[in-house]
Amino acid sequence: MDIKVFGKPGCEYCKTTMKKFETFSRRWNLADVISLSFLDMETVDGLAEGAFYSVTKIPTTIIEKNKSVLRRWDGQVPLSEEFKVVLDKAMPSSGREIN
Amino acid sequence: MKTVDIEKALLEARPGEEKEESTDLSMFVRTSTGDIVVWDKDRITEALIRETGITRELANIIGIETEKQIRSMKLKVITAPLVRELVDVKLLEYGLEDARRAHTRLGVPVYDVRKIVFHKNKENANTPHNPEATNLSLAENIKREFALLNVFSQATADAHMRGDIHLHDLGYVDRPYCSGQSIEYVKKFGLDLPDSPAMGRPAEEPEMLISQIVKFSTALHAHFAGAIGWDAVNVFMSPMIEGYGWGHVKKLARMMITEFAELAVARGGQGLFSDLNIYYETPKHFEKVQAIGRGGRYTGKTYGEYLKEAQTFARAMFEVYLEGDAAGRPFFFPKPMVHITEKFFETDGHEEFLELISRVATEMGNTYFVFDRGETAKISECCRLSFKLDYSDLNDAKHPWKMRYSAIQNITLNLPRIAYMADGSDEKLFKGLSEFMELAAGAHREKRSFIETLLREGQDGPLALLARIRDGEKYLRLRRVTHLIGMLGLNEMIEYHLGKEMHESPEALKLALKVISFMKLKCDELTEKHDLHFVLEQTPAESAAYRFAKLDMKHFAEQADRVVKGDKSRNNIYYTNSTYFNISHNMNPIERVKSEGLFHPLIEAGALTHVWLGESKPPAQSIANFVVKAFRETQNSQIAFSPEFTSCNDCGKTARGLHDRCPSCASANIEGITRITGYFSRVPGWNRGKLGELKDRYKNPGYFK
Repeated sequence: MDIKVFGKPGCEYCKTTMKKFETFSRRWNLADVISLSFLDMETVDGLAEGAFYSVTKIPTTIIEKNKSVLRRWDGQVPLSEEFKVVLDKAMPSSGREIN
Repeated sequence: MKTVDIEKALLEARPGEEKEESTDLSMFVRTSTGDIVVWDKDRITEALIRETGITRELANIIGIETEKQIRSMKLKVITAPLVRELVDVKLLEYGLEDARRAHTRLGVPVYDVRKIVFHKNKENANTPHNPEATNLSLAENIKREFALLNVFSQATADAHMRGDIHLHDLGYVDRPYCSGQSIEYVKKFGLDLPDSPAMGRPAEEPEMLISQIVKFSTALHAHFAGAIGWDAVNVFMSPMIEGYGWGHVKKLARMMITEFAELAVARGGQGLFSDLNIYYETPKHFEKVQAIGRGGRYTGKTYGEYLKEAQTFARAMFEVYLEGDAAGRPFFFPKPMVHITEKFFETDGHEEFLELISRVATEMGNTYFVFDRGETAKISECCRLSFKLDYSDLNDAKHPWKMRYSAIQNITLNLPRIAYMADGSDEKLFKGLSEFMELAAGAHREKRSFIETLLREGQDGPLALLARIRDGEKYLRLRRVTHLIGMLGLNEMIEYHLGKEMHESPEALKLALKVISFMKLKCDELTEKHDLHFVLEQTPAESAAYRFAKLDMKHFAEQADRVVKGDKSRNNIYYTNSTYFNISHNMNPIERVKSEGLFHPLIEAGALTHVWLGESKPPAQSIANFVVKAFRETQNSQIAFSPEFTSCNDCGKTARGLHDRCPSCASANIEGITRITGYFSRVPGWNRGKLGELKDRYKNPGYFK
């Protein structure tokens, strides 16, 4: 499962979003099954990836599984309850308990 | 060898020769001023000193050498241009290349003049074929050469000649590229043109205002290379039509459109390339602005209070567009650009208006749907160029006559060539891209510097209209001009580099996005470095798409042969325009709008997706639904629906689709009409590349049924 956070280095909301996913993936013991990446929209690669996903606001977070988008949040910091639902649904067979 | 060294060597090699060669050669010279004068070698010397800056001694030697050569020809009469050519050869023989460049004569071979006089110019489908148009073509030829020799550096000129980059509108080198403004300028200041024998006071009647707007547009057309755009035309017309009934408003709308449309006597006999921006709502930034009415006086009301009048005028304009011209053809100009915004959908009556403009789109093809999402506000013009308004602009909106935006120049990069030179290496690909962009930035600085010099001549100079100060600033506000960098053949670049076209794999699409992202960030870097505003624009590339393909088939034959599009056997070849996907690919139109739209947020100065309709005529409601979907579900900046027509010159009827003969009277005396790039034109005037593209266009058969 891929979690992509699109943002800029100077954006506090973007940093908060990253921190949130890092914290909860550790707490829920998902760090080894989730690939979390920060895409810097001030770089060529980040901007290009952002264009591919039609990102126009930061932070934007996209959760993908097998290259299909499960959920996205544009221009906002996702709530943990919101992405918990998506992760729960996406990994029912992982045997891990998310609390 | 430096000039000073050459001079020394020459003087040493020819001691006392000047005296020895002095002569009174009995020969006459036909001068370029229409006179016949007796031969005088000193004229060469003086011209060389005046025009090239070389020393008198050196100029004398060149003069003596030239005279000696002419003497050996035993002529009785010689023309001044031939003398000049002989002097230039001498300058070259002595390695004085810079002096030769400064001294060279610009002209057109007799063969070319005859060709221009007898055959239509196909570089721009908007240029007709008449004596005024051939004047334009001849002048363009001279100015193009002048630009490459005298305005741009040799490095820039060579890059253009090689086909690495394309310097657009070289024949208009003494003008900025295009201009967008508000009719408030005309309403407030009236019609005051330099050198005009009469000055028009601010209009008291809407008819007078329309007449002044069209005349002012014509004057601007003579000062810019490209389009003349007018912002929020219906909004600013609204105070002038207060209290008028529908019939009168419709008559005024017809007058405005036909006055623009029928003016095929503008620059070089061309049609007046013009754009009218239209809003169904009052744009937020004009809502509380004090309205200007008759005589340039404030009415005491705001534009927000004239919403009904503005909507009525907009509706009337589209009813006129729906009727078309006397032969039922679409009006080629002025192009109506309707801004679709969030507020549009909140405005009462928008459904009916959307249906009307969609009906015009399907019946005649005129409507451009410009998507201003979020807080974006822009003025659109030309084929797709737009100026995004920033905070200071929105502040200027309180005084809309100040809102004047121009681009200085457009320069396009030959993207497939970069891929050929990179030979599969990513590193070389982006390095090449960076180098081409640096070249373009240098060229922009050279053009800007030339325009600044012309502007400094003020009211005595050629750009007096643009140098005129009526509101504390020159008409051309250099602080707000943009410098456009365009791209051509992104699809072929990716195809050569990866072996797949942009629509063929996500990797290809991602690389294409990376190329444009790189270009966008490089523009930001160049802006910082040069303190000039560089922005990306999708190049319309009416002639460049053919020119680059042709040059690459010559200089990179093996590589270009693999990716160039069109009919190679007939030489109707082209590269795909800007960031477009393969034009012939069978792609669902909403998918095309969506996929091409991925690039649009990166292209600040304007982008457009064409939906080619061919001869199909979808229901207006299908078009309206498509537009709403494109606005809501894609990032596309602008879309236009392009039908095709056949107009008969014998029976005067216009039929849907492109036919070999008139469907009504079977005459072969017909002409096809459709969009070439961002505007309608007659197909017989198209260049070979565009004819090749027309044949390849996928016209979405059946999609809208």
